[in-house]
Formats: sequence, C-alpha cells, structure tokens
Amino acid sequence: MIDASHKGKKFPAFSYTIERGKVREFLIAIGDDQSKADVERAIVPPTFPTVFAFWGGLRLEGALKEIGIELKNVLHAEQEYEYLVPIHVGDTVTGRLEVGDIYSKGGRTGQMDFIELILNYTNQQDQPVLREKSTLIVRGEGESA
Amino acid sequence: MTVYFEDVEVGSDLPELIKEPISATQLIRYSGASGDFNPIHSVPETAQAVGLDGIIAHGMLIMAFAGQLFTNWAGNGSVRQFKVRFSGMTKPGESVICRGKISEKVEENGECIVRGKLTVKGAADDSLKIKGDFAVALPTRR
Repeated sequence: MIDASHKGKKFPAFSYTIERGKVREFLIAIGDDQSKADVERAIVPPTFPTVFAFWGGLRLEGALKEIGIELKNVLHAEQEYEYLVPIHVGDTVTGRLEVGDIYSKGGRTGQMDFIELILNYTNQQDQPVLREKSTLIVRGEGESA
Repeated sequence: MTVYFEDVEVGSDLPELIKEPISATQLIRYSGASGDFNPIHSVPETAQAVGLDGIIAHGMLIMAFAGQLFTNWAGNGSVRQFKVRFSGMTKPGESVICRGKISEKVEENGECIVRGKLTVKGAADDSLKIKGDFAVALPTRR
C-alpha cells in the first residue's frame, strides 16, 4: 500500500530545452518516417514530452523512492496529455511534478495500488503549454505478473 | 496532403497503421531517446526478478505508435488532446496494428476540432494493448 499522505506532494521544478537532433532521434526510435518535415518546421510529435521529464532532470526514480516506490515495480496504466499552446524546437519548458490521487482497486489478481503523477509545463514566456497526467500501477516486491 | 475539417465524416475510419515487429534493439533505442531507462525494458534478469517473463516494451513507445495513426493523417501540430489506457504488455517480436475512428466534430475556442477513438492491438493474436482518445484541430475551407 502506498502512503496516501503523499497526495499533493510537490517536487522541484526542472527545465528542458528542445533540440532538433533529440526530436529526430525520437522519431527514429518510434519508427516514424512520416514526421520528418514537421520536425524540420520545429513541430514536435505528441508523445515527445516524455523526453522533457526524463532528460530534463525530473529524476523520476528518486521522486518515486521518496514516496517509497521502486521504479522497477511500476507499470504504466494511463497517460493523458492536454496541449494548450504549441511547443516548438528551441523552446525551453519548465515542468512541475505533483502527486495526484493515490488509491487501491480490487482486480482479478488481487488488490492493486495506483498513483497519479501530474506534470504542468510552462514555456520560456511562462505560458502554460501542456498538462500531463500519468497513472501508475505499483506492484508489490517480487509479486508475479 | 492537407485534411480539412469539412471533409471529415463522423464514423469514418483513419487509415490503419501496421508497425514493424518490435525488437529488443528498438527498446534500447527508445530507452535512450526517451530517457526512460527502467530496466524492465532492457535487462531480462531484472524483468524476471520482478515477475515478468522477459523484457516488455515501454507503454509510451506503444502510445507513440498510436500517435502516428493521427499525426500521419493530420500532422504533428494538430494535436490538442491525447489520452490512453494501457491494457496489455507488448513483447519484443510482436507487431501491432493501430486503428482509429472519428467520433465527433465540434467548433471550440475558435478551432475546428475532430475527436476520435483508437486502439492498438497485437497483429498475431488481436490482444488489446491500448485504448485511447484523441482530439486534433483541423484547418477549414471557410
């Protein structure tokens, strides 16, 4: 069981400047050969914001540890993006992570624990650009899939 | 080719997207590209130690495939909302198929918005990987 007192916990802000080469690398990794022209026009693909967090210094592994969760015991249940203002190559985005709801659900395989992570991003003009919510399932230590 | 709001019909299907089989190398490549180095996607011993029967694909890689379904159609700059639920794990060697359908057309905040529903399923066994919703803003002929 995850300690519900972590609800609303906030983590230090982190920033990431979007480089075109990183977006190109991302397209190759996802096997997308139809978005090259968009990237040359500085437009980023819809799931590229995952890079902001992991390469922008969010340190998810450490953040989860503070809540008593091991990264390797986590599975992704839901992911949601709301795009408020277009984000472009060259922009510097700043992300702020906050713990949303923490809850348990009974399933076929017994009780499962869920935690929501909310990420709000602003750009270099301090405009809100993106809202993101990730819902994670936390599996017990050594529990079978 | 530009897709215009007026040309989209509710209930119509997006062109299906069949992805190449996922390889272990692709998962390592995606780990580096995304920065998500959770070892359950790259280190078989760790995956087994946490009760999986081998490495599994990043859910976000499968969501990226789902995104290509509508970005191939409407472009990357069009997306306004994108939401998925991960239903099943995907393993190296598996190929997936992305399908989508237009569910709604609406004018909101001065934009012409088209909403749709999508799925990603295993090509071999039709197993559900992702179910999701998206919204894109399209140009108008007006």
